[in-house]
Amino acid sequence: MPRIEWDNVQSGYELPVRVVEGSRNDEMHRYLSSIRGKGASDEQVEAAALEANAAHFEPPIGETELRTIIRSVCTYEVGDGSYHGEPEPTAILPTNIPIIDRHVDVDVLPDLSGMSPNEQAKAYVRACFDGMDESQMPWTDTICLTRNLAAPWDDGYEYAGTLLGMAGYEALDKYLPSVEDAGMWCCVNPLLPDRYRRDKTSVAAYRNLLVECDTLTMADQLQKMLDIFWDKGGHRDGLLRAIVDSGNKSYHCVIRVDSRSRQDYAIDAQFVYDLCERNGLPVDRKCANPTRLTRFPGAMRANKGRMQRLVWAYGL
Amino acid sequence: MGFSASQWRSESLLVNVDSMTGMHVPDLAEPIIDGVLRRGHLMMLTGPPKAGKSWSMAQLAYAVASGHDWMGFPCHQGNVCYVDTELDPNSLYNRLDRVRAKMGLADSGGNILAMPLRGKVVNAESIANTINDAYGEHPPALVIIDSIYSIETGDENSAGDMREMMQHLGGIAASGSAIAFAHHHAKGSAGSRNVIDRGSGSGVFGRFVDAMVDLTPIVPDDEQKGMLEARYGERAVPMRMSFVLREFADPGTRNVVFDFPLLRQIEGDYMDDAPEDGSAEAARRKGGESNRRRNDRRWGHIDESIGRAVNQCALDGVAPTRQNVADRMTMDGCEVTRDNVLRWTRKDASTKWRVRHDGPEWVVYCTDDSWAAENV
Repeated sequence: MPRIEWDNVQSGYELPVRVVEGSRNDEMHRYLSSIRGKGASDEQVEAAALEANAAHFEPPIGETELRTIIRSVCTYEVGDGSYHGEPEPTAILPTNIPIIDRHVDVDVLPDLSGMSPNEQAKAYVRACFDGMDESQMPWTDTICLTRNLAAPWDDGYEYAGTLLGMAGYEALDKYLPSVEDAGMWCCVNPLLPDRYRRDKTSVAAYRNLLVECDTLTMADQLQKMLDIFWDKGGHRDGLLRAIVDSGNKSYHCVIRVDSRSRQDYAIDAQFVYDLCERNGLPVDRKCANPTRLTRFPGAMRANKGRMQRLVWAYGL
Repeated sequence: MGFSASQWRSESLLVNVDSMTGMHVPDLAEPIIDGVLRRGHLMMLTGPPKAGKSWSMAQLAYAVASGHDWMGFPCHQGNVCYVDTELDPNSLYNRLDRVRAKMGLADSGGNILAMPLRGKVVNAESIANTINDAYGEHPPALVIIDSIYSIETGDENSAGDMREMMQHLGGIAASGSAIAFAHHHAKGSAGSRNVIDRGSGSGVFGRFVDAMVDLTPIVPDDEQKGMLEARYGERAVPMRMSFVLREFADPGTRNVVFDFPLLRQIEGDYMDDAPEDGSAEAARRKGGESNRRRNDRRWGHIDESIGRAVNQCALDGVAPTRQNVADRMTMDGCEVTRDNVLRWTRKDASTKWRVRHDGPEWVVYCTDDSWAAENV
């Protein structure tokens, strides 16, 4: 069995000298996850677990429990030990947030009532993600569609996005009718196709930011979003990517950010949210999560019986 | 590609200067200490250990809380957050009380809130967050941090770590509070350095702050010492307060004395020519009375010897050139060379002898007319 020189690898986690009852399971899990991230194989993880259990754990973790932890850790991807802490942000937050003094008439939005659910879904995907065109192969972005926020990973829909990439737009045709009763969500940023999880490590590109407001009336929300972000044909054309009626009492607005890193994404998000608040749109700052799910247009919102309707998409 | 928020953010960092000048020039932040410190700015007080830095910080807190003067600068009344990382809380309150009593104040008018943090692991970020959370929309006029070096933010000597800390302090300042903190002098003699470099650790300190106030002890001569002792007692240590200000004209130095528990300006100007500790002049003064007497005796001796040699030249009928004087002179039983005479007659020498042109030659003469008259 090849040995890994653990000392040469920058450590993110250090096992305490003595681990007592109450935190044993947690510490063992963290320890094994950390060495897994540094490149340990299944055998190495098991060996390290047995060794650490005997040396540092008082009393040692029981056989069955230890096996469960090892099994769980071995499902994680083997890391390459290249993790050296979070990079520093390169973006700078401006001190003076612009004030936008203008009124955009809601009539600039085209009437999309004639679009079928699938047309809405395709227009939305084309606007928010890159390379999403029937004629283009391979697609550069892998989008993540989920069926239900409470149980996003059940019965095969979790990576509808991957299927979409494989099968083109037929995938939407296939899934949309079948999820009408469950609601459908889309991760606001493209994910890595081979990660099969929606977390901070699996974002492929920091393209979009979700802007969502829960306090104003629907009409006011739309008006403010247009006042701040609408600039079709102007200097800021391309900033506003899509607006979706969530089917309840808010609009979900997708803004193109194109941040360089997760750190920069946080700063860009803060800028956009500061901008919204300065200009009279109180936003939900929790949406700064780059893997935030947003209502996917074309699907039905189950609990409200209304469609998650596309209001506008870039390129229409 | 199209426009992105990232691009908009970057564009927003650029300001058209014309929109901020001429008719649109913004008001300056209101001053907290007139002529020294504004709201949103940083002030650093440096000084050697036991100079009364902490006490004068307490004094500043009460001066701002009550709108009194501080070291002769009028303060604008406002609320103060006093962050102390060093003292046992009871000692802190006792200190503040002594300062209050000596300043003749009944109380701070509710304007001083203290944050005793001794024994707590804090860094500049946690202090900034605490202040922002506690004060919310109404930040204090002045935040005093005593002292900056007990705040755990990396290495005092690392420019990177210190810059990070200063940025957190800048974060407090951005909400509109002025920040004052004390910092100790580096080892060695402060008087021999530029004011901006007297604080210890990374040079970032001196360059990040808007107002730098430095306390350096001064070395009085006997007469000055007598006057000082008569007024402030035997243990009074006179100091010079110097300023490096980014926003205001240099107010000049002030001589102060730590008259427990307050730092006071010394009345009158008798201390003005006392040199700062560590300067060359102070080293001479510090050499002490015996040293000076010994020097005086030696220079007197040289004066007399040169005088005798010059007289001998006159008797021998030769011009008193440096060579001729050297030839007719002994010091402590040793031969004297031309170079010795050269050194003793240079313009910075402590003798009364100098040289001047007399025809083609340089001759030694006495600057004291009475001597010449007597001996010709």
